[in-house]
Amino acid sequence: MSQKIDMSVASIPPAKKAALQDIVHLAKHHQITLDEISHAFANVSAQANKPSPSVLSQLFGYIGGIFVFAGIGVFISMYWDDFGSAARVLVTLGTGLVAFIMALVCLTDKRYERAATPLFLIAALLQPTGILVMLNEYSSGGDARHGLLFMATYMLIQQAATFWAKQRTVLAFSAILFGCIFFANLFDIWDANEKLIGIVLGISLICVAYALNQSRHLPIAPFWYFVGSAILMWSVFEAVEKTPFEIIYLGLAAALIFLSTAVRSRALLAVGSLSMLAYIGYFTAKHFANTLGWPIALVIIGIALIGMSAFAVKLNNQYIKQ
Amino acid sequence: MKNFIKENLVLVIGLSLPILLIVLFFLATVVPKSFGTPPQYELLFTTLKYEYESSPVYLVDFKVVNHQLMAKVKKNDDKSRNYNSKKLMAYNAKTETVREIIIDLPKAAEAGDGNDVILEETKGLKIDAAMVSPDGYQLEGSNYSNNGLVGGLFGGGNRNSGYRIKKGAVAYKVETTQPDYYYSDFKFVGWIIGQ
Repeated sequence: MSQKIDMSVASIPPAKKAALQDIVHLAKHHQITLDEISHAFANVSAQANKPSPSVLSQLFGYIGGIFVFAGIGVFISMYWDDFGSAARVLVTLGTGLVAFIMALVCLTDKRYERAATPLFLIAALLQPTGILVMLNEYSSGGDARHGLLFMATYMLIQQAATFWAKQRTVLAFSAILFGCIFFANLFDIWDANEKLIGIVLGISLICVAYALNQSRHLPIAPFWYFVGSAILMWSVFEAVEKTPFEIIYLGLAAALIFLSTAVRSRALLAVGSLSMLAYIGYFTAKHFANTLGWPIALVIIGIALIGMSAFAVKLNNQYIKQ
Repeated sequence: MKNFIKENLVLVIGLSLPILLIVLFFLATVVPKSFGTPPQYELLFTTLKYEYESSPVYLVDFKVVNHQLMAKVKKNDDKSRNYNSKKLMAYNAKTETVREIIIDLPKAAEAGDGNDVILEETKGLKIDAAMVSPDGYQLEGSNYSNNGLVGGLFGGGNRNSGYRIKKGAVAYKVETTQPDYYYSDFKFVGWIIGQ
C-alpha cells in the first residue's frame, strides 16, 4: 500500500508536488485540520456559485474614493496659507487620528471590515504628516531628524501594537515601514557607519520578509524581500567598492539567487540577477573598456545580460513558479 | 516564549539585528567614553559667521607664536565681497560646550596697526598649536557622505560627520557652530594648556 502511495507521489509533476508541500507546510504552521480544509473548500465552491459584484462598479468605487480623497487634499492645500497653526494640525493629525479610530471601529463590524484597510492607509499617511506639521508649527528649531525620530517612534508603537492586537496585513506593512524610518534616523543621528546600517537593515528586512512569507501576511513579503535585498546589495557594494574584497559582492549576488530558489521569491531572484548583471557591467567597463574597446565591452555586457536573463527565467520556472 | 522563539527564529533574528547594532554602538562609543579620561585641555578654533545683513568692518587672522595667540586685524576694504566674520571659539570636552571668545576688534586693530598683536582677551592663555594635545587627543576632520539607499528610502540623506577630538575609541563631537550661526568654516588654532 505504502509502495503504491510512494509510486503515486513520484508520478506527480514537480510544480504540483511543490504546491502540495506548501499546503502541508501552511496547514502544519497554522494547525489546520483536514476537516477544516474540506469545509473551506466546500465554502469556496458555494461562494463561487454566488454572483460576483461587477468589475465596473468596483472600478468606479475605487475612482470615486480617489476623487473624494484628492478633493479633500486639494481643498486643504488651497486654504493652507489661510489656516493657523491649530487648524493645520487639526486637518492633518486630527483627520489621521479620526481615520485610525474609524478603521478600528470598522473592524468590530463584519459589514464594514473591508473599509478598514483604506482607513488604516489614510491614517498611516495623515498621522505622520500631522505630527511633522505640529512639530514644524510649535517647535523652536533644532535638528529636523529628532522630529522625524519622534514621529517614527510614535507611529511604530501605534502601528505595531494595533497589528499585535488585530493581525491586519496593512498594519504589518506600516509597522515595518515606520520601524525602518525609526532605525535609519536613529543611526543617522548617532553618525553610525551608513554601510553598516544598510547591511544590518537589509538582512533584518529579508528575515522579516521570510517570516511574513510563512504567515498569512504573505502578500507584502515580496515588497520587503525586494527592499531588504536591494538595501543589502547597495550597502555591500559601497563597502567593498574599489577594494580587494569586491568579489564578495559577486558571491553575495550568487547567494541571493540561491536563496531566492530556497525561499521561492521572485523579488530576491530579480535583485540577485540585477546585482550580478550590474557588477558584470561595472567590472567590464572598469577593466576591459580601455583594453578591448568600448564596443566589444558592450557586446560582452549584452551577452551577459542575455545569459543572466535566460538563467533567471529558468530558475523561476524550475524552482520558484508554482 | 521559548517555543515562540523556536518557531519564529528567522523573525526573531530579523528584529534583533537592529537592536544588536544599537547595543554594539553603545558598547563602542558610550562605554569607552565613560571609562576613559576626558580631554584636559580646551580646543581653540575659529568658525566663520555669515553676516547676511552687512559685511564685517574688520577682518582677523590668528596664529600661535611661542605659545601665545597673535591676531592680525585689518579693515575690510572689499565690503561687497566678504560677508564672513571670523569668530574665535573654545570647546570644553568636560562640559561638552562651545563658548565664543569675544574680541574687541577695533581696539586690536588700533593696537596692531596692521601688524600681529597679542589680544587682551587671550593674553593670559598658553596655547599649544601641535595637532596632538599633551594628553593625546587629536582633532579629526569632518566627512561629507550620503546615507546610502537607507537614507534615500527612509530619511537621513546627505550628512556631515562633523569634527571630533579623538583618542583611541574615545571621541567627543565638537559642535562647530552656535544654533543661530548660518554658515561655518572650521579652522584649528590650538589647545589651551595653561591660563
